[in-house]
Amino acid sequence: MGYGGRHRHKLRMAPDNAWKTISKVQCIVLSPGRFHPVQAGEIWREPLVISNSGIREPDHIWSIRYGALPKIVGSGSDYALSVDSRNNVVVQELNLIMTDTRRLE
Amino acid sequence: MTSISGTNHNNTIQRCKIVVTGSNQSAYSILMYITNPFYNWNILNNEITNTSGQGLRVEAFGDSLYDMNISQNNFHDIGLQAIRFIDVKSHASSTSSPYGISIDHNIFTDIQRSAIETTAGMRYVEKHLNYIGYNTALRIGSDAVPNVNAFQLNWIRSAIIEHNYIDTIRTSVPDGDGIILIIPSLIITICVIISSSI
Repeated sequence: MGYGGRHRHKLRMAPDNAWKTISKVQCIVLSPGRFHPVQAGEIWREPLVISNSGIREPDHIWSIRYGALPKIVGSGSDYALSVDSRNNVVVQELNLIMTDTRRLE
Repeated sequence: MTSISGTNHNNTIQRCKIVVTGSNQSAYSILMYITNPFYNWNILNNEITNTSGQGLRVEAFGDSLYDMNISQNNFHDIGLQAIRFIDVKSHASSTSSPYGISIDHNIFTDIQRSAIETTAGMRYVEKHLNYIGYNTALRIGSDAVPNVNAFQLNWIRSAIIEHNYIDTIRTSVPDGDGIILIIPSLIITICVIISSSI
């Protein structure tokens, strides 16, 4: 995956635009080539569900590259991350944790 | 776990750390549940651990899985197999096995069962190379677990297996092989090391 000039611009813009809650990902409509920032170093105790597909070219769920990876803790749920019937999605630089490993299927 | 199912294509998980802890052997770091065509997937440069279960589990139901790259990942401290492909039908067939699968440049350390195990096989499709190369597997198996092989490859067809480094495989009873290729229908078991260091 390349990271061209327009993407670098969005990287610089990321800290102010970072999502405050991971649940926002579940309802947003992913758009071509758009980055969706996730704040570094934070912990979400809710699963990340990719509920929309990107369009044509890969879309991105990403974290700011500075500091610790943001943590998504899936304890008490089936998963920390779900990509169910979704396409054109890149998930990167996340710390996905399951501490309560019960069988749920 | 990370759950991936349904129709999926053109997706990537990269540079993530995926940690599963606890005692449940049925919890997976990444689960791919394939009931529809599933292609152009990349699992790249991730750190994957699971104290009791499997690292990457791919469950195929005879539907197409192709063009999947599993590259440059660090699998370590895993209670069962690091990578396991299974065909949940009674057996893999010549038309149901995945193709275009590349497992390369991964590191496997302290894996209690096989580093790579497939009963789903791989099959030949023109221009979709199957490749298992440049992997490093250290400290595979356990003195308490029988029949551990570092790379347990059933129904593998038309694959290039090269430049893998495998060291220290432990098992309570044989096999304990570095790389084993099995074709069950012919009742032929072949232990082959291809350009690999054991």
